Amino acid sequence: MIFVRVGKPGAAADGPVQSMDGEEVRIGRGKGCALRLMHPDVRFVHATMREAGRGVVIDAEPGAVLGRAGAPVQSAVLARPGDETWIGPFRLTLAEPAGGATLDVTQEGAAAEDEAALARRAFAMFDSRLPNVRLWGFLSVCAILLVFFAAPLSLHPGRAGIGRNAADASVAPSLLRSTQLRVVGLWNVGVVSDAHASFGANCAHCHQTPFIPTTSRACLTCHVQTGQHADPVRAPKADISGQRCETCHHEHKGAVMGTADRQSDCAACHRNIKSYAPSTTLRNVVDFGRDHPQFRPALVQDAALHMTKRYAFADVQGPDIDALDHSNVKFTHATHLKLEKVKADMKADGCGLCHVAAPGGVTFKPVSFETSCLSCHTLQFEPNHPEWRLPHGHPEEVVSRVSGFYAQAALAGETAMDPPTDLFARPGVPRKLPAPTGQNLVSLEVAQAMVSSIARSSCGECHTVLPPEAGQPATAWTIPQVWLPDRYLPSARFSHAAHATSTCQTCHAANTSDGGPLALLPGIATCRTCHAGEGGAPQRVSSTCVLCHVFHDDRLPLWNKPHE
Amino acid sequence: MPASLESTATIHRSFLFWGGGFYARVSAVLCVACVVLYWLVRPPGPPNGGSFTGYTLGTLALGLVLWLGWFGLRRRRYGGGERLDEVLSAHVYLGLAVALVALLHCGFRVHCNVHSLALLLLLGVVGSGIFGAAAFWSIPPRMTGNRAGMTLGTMSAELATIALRCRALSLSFPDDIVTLVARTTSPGGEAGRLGDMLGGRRNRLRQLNLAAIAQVQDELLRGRDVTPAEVLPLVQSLTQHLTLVERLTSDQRYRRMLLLWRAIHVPMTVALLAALAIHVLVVFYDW
Amino acid sequence: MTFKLAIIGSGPGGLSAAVTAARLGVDHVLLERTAHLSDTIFKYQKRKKVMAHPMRLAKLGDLPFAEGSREEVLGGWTATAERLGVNLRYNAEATKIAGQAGGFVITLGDGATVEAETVVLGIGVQGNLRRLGIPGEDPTQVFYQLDDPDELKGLRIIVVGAGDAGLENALALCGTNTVTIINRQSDFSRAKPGNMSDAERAVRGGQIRALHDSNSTRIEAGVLFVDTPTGEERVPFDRIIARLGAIPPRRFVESCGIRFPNTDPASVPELSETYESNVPGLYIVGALGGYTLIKQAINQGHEVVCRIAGQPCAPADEPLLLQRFEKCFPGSSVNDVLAYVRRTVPLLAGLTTLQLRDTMLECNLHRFAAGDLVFRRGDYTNSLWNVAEGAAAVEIDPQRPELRPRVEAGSFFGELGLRSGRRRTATVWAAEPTVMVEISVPAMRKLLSSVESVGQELDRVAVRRLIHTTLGAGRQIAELDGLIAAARLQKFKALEPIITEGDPVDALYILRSGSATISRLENGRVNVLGFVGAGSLFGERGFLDDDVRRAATIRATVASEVVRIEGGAVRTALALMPEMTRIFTSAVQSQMERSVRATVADVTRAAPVRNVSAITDFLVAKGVGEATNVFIIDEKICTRCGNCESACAATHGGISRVSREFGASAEGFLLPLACRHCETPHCMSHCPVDAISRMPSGEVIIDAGICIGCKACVNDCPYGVISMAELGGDPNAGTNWLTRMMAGIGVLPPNRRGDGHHEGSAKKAVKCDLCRNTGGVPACVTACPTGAATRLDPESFITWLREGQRAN
Repeated sequence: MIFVRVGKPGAAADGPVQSMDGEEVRIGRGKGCALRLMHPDVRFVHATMREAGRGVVIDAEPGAVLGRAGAPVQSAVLARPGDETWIGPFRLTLAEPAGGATLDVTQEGAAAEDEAALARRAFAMFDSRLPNVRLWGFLSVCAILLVFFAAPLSLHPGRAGIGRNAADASVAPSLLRSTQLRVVGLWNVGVVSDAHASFGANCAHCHQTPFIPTTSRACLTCHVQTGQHADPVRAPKADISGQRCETCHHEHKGAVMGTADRQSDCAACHRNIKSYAPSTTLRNVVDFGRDHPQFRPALVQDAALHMTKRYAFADVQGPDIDALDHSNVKFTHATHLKLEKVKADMKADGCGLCHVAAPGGVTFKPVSFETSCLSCHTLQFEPNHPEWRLPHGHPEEVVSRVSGFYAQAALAGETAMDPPTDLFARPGVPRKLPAPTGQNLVSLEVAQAMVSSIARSSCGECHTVLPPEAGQPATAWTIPQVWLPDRYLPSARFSHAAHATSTCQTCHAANTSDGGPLALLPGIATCRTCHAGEGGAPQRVSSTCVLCHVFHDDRLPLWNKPHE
Repeated sequence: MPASLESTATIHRSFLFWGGGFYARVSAVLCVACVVLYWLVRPPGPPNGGSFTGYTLGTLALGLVLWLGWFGLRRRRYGGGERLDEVLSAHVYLGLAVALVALLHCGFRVHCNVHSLALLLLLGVVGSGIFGAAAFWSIPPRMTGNRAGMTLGTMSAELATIALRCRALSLSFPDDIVTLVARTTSPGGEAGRLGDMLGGRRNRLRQLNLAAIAQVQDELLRGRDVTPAEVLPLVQSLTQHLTLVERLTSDQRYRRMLLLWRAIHVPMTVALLAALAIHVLVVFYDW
Repeated sequence: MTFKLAIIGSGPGGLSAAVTAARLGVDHVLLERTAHLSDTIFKYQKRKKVMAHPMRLAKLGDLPFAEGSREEVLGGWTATAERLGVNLRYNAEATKIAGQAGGFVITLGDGATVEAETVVLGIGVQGNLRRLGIPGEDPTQVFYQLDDPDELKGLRIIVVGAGDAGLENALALCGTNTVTIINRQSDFSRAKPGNMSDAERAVRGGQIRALHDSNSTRIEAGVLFVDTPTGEERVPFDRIIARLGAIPPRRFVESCGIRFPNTDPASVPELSETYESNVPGLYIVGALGGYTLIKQAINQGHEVVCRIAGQPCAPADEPLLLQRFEKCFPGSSVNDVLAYVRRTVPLLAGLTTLQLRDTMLECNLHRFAAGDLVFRRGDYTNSLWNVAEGAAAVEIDPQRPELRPRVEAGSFFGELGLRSGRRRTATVWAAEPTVMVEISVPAMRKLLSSVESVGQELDRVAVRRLIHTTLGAGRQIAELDGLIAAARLQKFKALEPIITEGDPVDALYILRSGSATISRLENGRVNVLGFVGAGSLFGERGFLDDDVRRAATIRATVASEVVRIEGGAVRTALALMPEMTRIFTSAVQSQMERSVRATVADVTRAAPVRNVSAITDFLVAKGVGEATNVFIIDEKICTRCGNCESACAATHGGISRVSREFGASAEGFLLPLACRHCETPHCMSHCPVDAISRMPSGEVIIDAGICIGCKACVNDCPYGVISMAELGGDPNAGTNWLTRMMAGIGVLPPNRRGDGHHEGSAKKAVKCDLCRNTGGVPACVTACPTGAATRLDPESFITWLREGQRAN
């Protein structure tokens, strides 16, 4: 029989006295225990207690311990009053025996965990905080500065030791160069045109001084031959030296270099050209389709001096134009195109019979006598001796050639010779010459007669021939210089190749024209059948100025050359 | 006095509707103006930042970005007369506009360079901002419903009470139950850890709590020495504990959604400012 | 031998008297019950700061006194007493005073007697504390005060008595000791709310063990035996601290023949202006006479002795009064002015000279030219104005300037604001050259508690005025006598119905103070129709369409005062003055319009209608009824970013006066812990130094310069919005936006809040001041990024709930 007095938490053991009999008294939280100590630190069945004399012996269950925390024991013997042991927070003290061993059980301290603290922990646990955005911000800024600023800056050629121009860059090891390209490319605002791709990472090649927009100087170091747009003397306002190429030519906008070709840009000046170039002969123009002036072909003024003069189609219409042309050669398509022989040949190779496209097809090879005329105009003068021909292009040799022929004939012992029949005669022209006979066969008169006849008929066919001036030998006939310009519309850059898919007749009225070569030159109306100004009329090719005209005129002083 | 002098119309009105959507209209007008400029004034060559239009839009965008970023300061400038919700309203709608302005500025072209980086960062900031605005709009009502008139303080206090009750009730059960209940009812872990943000702890707590409930109920079946009179109150308390934990965790999840987008928005803004600085510098360095 | 002068009690009053006597060479004796000087102050906690309030009051006499620590003050006094050779007798407790002027016999505790011609009684009220008085009591274990809580650690301490003193001690100790409270009552309701809630929290948290309904019976060998409802319990202890309060020594005082004005235990003996009691030759100084401040006691002791010794001596408040009167009565003596006030202000006529002097200390005299503005409608001033000369004109209705009742000389105005704490309902000018006496609220409060007649007069006039302003309709006040006669004041407790739906229509009501809700029972559930504040008229509809039954219930939201006018009188008045019906109908109409608009709003509103009556109930339950300006957060918009708290902290020295997460929430609205600037602020009621005041613009503010950190307001505030915090040390000092942005230096954590749970002399009471220092626009509202926060008066809020929500 053991007597137990249990006290409230923190209070003395003043509870009612419970008596517990039986051999073993079980201590624990469970219902099975005679002495129930309700605390998480006490196990379901914690220990057993038995009476020993006037005291008690307490044995902990396997796994459980007695005694204060830090000094655990397996079993405790409480023999004398005041002896004590602990089960969790409970202090078991042996009291003065009252009818048997008496045990005071007191609980030290208050509840296991106080509510306020628990609530605080819960609050902390379910609170939410913003992560350290400041740190993230700093890190990302550092990263960006490093990759996108420090790196390109250090690899920027001319600032790094990698060399200032493309040539130097090319000697740098390729891996380094490609990395450099990529890194420096981080500053690149867009794709560099193929034309300039060779500069690689060398931005300084064009961007010469920081924070200063690129000047034309940078471009002109390579583009030496760029011409002015207008004569700086006659049109000082049109002087483009000091302008930025960038204003018309757009780099970093893709593989193909973009060039400004809007007619509005040209019209800016050309709508009122006089105010820019007072002395100019140019007319104002804004739009090809609407107000472009009639073409003004350049006609030969003096073939010897290669001098041309420009007339507008408006001034001269039809065949009369040939009268204004002083290229010193007589030719009309009409007469030739009527000839059966020509017709037959043209069946084979059309205009190509005479007009052979020059390499590139933009223009045509000059028409030469040998290739185009000789087949008909054989220049023979003795039917029985077709091997004898007049020398084309060498009028001074005509006399010697002719007299030489007869001399030879005389030496050959011919006494009389059939008079030349229709040798030089144009069809239907009766012969006028006396038949040379006997000894006068080699006389000078014959030669003279021959020569003058040749000159008048044979050469005069195509050329202007001038009789000998006074005091000159009778045989001193002369032929003025012949010159045909390769372009009749010199300001335009018309390309036949671009139009090769259509026939010649589309633009050149060869079949119908009865005029000279210039009669076939098409006027602006012809172009306008297909072409209109920028934006175009409906079903017209939108054609800006630079389609036919060039901006930089290489006939003018060069841009980068200082002009005086 | 000042606060009560304000007309009732301005009481408790979401920043999205400030002044009847005044700033929404403002930024709409701005966008239209920019698009018109973009279409009417075409530069030679493709649309780009280097043209007149480009520089104009670029300057505008830069100004907007700086003003929008200034909100970070303005938020902390307390005690001023004007209301912050007006500023936020403007911040939101002009923020939407700046994305378009920037896209027009660069002519919708993106390359691998610092300039496009700035653009992408800008779009990222605006995107996160949109998410934030959506969260600000949609979450508070749900959050309020979930809280059911309690605050974080009261909820955690109640949780503590229930936890202690559970522990006390569990004492008459075998040791495994006691430890299980103890583990269930002792909150562990601080807020803001990454694992927790991904909701890992939420499940952990639920599982633990459910397990405890199941275990206790099983006690009856397992024929241990317990009566329904003992089991029921503990099960009830544990269930209350579970529901409260659910409340708290979803409340926390809501607050997180209200917070975390700023963890992207703010640093990205800082990065954007850096990128923009480089962008402007470089563009004029190699002009 | 017979002393010329015997001084009982060596408190500030007594000691000062003795010192003066010693200097003047008056043959005197100073009897001190204990073995040291000034027991009350001696028992202060160690190093407690002793305040020298009121600052403006000069100190008379030779007893040195300045603000300082308990030790400094006591040291200085002892030294002075010795230096001037005060005839001091320790351990001499006076148990009986017999005789009359010239021949008093004072019997001491040890039976010895002392004879004196005059007696100065300075025993204060703290003099004799109630004793534990149980067997086994041992002075080494049982203490009656707590010198220094920090000295006690790891002890088992029993605190007997659950008054404020007991709870404060227990709370101070429970951190480091195991504390048990023995409480006679079943709960802590005897203590101030603050202490009560703190203690209950501590008990729930297990830091304090409380034995309610318990009495300690005896002490045996370090164990206290306690009778508990569950039987006797033994509580082992190391120390007992008994805070059983002090017995007002009234029995003793009365045994000396001194009369008290009434049986109210708080009341103090009647004294002449020379502090002489009704027993000639027996003077009373200090707390016993109702003067709780140390400086006052010192001055009184000095004055009394000077008089006895026939020395000329101006009272300490003389210069103050002079200074107050200077503006109106330059050059005239204090007594003349006092006489003038007595003559011209009937309300103050019945006061003793001392009471008058005290009152005048808190009063202002004004001289107005004709047409000067006194105060304006809508002001929050609530002092009481008395017309001494001339007359004032009151503009009741701005639409009808022709009707301006005059307040003639000898009468007063402004009493409505004084009682209800609400805005001024009328504008007042001086009608002619006028002299007015403005009595401040604290002074008025003192008067109302001490002089009953004042309160009665106030009420009488108030009822007249209220009826005139609400029902006058341009009539002269005399024409309303019928109504006034039938009117009486009625007090209602919070939530008590004033009118119940279905009751017979028997009276008309005007709300004098407090507020009320109008509700109707609609198919089972209460539907709140509106919310009316002081000065509003209700119960009028019944008289229009002769309803026999009330159509709605009017329920007081807070303790309210109502003027009830008997129905009969109302009907006769209506018959006499038909224009009164216009007032009724307009009132009814405005109500009907309101409800109609509300229903329209209900129908047209897209969002689900908030349960208005539920919200109103919630607000009322949270005491918003007595608020003038309340902080409300719409939780459907609030993103819980805490910027309101940060803003508050940032604009108030780093201490936020708002707390969201600990506020109350219902129906999607959150009432954070934040001051509501009550109509009659509870916090003002016990402030010993009047540090709390209400600004004309309405905000109730605490002057940190004056606050002595006594926590009276903290305990008085029912809403727990006042907290103690160390001011100064602004965490944002030396920081700017750059440091805040870049380094996070100076950013304020949203939930930082001053807390009231620690003692500390440097701590001051802090609460919302509506940001008057930063332009009067609440930073919490302007800093809300989502527009969820609002500060406004409850009426506007309810109106918005019913009508304005559509605007969102």
